[in-house]
Amino acid sequence: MSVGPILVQARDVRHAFGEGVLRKEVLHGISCDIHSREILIIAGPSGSGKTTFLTIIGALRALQIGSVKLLGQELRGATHKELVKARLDIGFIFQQHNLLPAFTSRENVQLALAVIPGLSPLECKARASELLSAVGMSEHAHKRPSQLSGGQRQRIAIARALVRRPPVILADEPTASLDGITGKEIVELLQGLVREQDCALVVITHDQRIVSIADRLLHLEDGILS
Amino acid sequence: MNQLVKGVARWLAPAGIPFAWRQLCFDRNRLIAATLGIILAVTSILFQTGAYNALFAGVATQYQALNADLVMHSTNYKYVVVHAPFSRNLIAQVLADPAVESAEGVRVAMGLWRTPETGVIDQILIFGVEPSGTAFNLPGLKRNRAWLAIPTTVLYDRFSLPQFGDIEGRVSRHEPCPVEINGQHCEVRGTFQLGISFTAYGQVFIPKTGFDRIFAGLPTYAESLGLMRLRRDAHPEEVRERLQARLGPEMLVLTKKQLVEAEQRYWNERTPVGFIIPVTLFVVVLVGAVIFYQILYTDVQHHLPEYATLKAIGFRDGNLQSLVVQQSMWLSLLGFPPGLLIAFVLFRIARVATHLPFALSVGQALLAFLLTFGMCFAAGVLAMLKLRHAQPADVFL
Repeated sequence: MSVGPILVQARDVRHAFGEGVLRKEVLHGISCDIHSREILIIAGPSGSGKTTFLTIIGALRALQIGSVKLLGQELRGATHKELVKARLDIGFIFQQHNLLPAFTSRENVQLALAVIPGLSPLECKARASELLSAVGMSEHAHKRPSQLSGGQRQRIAIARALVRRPPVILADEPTASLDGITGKEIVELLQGLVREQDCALVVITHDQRIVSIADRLLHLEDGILS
Repeated sequence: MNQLVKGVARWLAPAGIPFAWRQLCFDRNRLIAATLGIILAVTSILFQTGAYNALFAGVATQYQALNADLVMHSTNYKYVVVHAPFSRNLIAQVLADPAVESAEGVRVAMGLWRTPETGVIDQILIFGVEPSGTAFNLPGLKRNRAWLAIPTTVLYDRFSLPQFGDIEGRVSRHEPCPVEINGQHCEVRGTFQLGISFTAYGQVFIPKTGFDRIFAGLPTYAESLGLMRLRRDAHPEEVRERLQARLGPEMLVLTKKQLVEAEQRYWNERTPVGFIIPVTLFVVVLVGAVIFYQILYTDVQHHLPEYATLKAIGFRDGNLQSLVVQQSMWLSLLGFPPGLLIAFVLFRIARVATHLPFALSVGQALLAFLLTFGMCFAAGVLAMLKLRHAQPADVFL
């Protein structure tokens, strides 16, 4: 599988929590590139800094030291507004799916399009339906999250992450709350869709059963990437 | 215009989903509790406004019923029962003005009423009127005017509080109704309908001859108020100025409206009541605002993880803030109409219980709605500060 251009470039990323004597550095100068059409898995034990790294390259957390370029845009020193704008180029998949309980499956997917100017409600609905079909959830479009199984919810979350066709998908332990078979189905689905959409997928996990889908596997331990 | 409609539609339903409304309706119990809170606040504000109206309209209840274009009284006048009377000759003087069609005087004083059933003494407001006069626009007074030819006659306000006895019941049963005012024997021979105020919890009309008998210590050839009815083509303000100049600085000539305003001003500016009621209204509004804030703050707090998720998928703070503002708007729209309805039911109950004119003008109702919306909006804006704490990175924890 040939990879494309660099979409995310991280250089010497350091991050610490706390102040003074309570200050604890969790990332110790991480550098890596993430390419288009690449599936990168970052594995490592709990507390190794995987999620912190993901939130930094996902523009969810301000970068303290180092440099992260997302689609060529430097996130170091970016304003709040610039960070919010940067998030539009990213699709997030959360461990607990984080679907909004008041809305149906289709509406949860549609909501990701609410921040795209110029899209009519009909277009939003059509694109949401398209993605639901792609994740095999058309039949459940009208159901609320509480009416779905864990695997079905994660499929909806994948549809929500992909509906804007972002160049980068970041997934945090997407199989953690699923059983082995469902987890495998989910990652295979994700793999297929990522290939189809030509985007980069970064998955952080400690689930060894899904590492086989990776084009590249990195290991993060105690804030150091290997 | 089309763009504006589209903009509003997009604001109300981003991506075609009426987000705020749907989120509000999702948890029925929470919605019901929030709406009840808003209804409670709205009802309190409206009822307090109605009470404010009732009390301040009530202070001039008697004056509103006067059959007069212009009224005169001594400058040594505080309010309806605290005043220096003036000579009855002045009535004749104003009658000399070609614009004055008719004029008459009215005596007003507080008397001691002995309740027939219990013998308990209470204060009652007494108007001494001419039997042949038309001092008040009251059907009951007109109907029973003939009785005023008898000096011992008393016409009783059926809206007086029950502490004065079952007078209305006895009159309606045509039973004799002897009463005692200032130790003098009188007989209630009819009723009328006027209403109570700060000044008096009960009131009666008696003929002037009876007034002189009851208030033997007061000057006899005197009046408390002079009532003037003008010819149809007369200009009240011009006549008022002319009569004022003629009567000199010891008398004050007012239009009926000015008299009502002066009475209200007295209670508003010179008595504790005028301070307490607006302060109470202010406190009620404040409590209402706190209720609104608490409801919206709790709601925002409840949805914080969802807002953090939305932030992570690209929603700006502004998008989320507009959701909270919309929720404020929906809550005020849901809570105001039932609050208004309940307030009107309470007004009805209060009117029956107190005979005070509890009411709300359309302008005040509109103002209360704007206030409700404004408070919901302000509470929403304050609750939005909480949205800053919705850290998108937290959804990964």
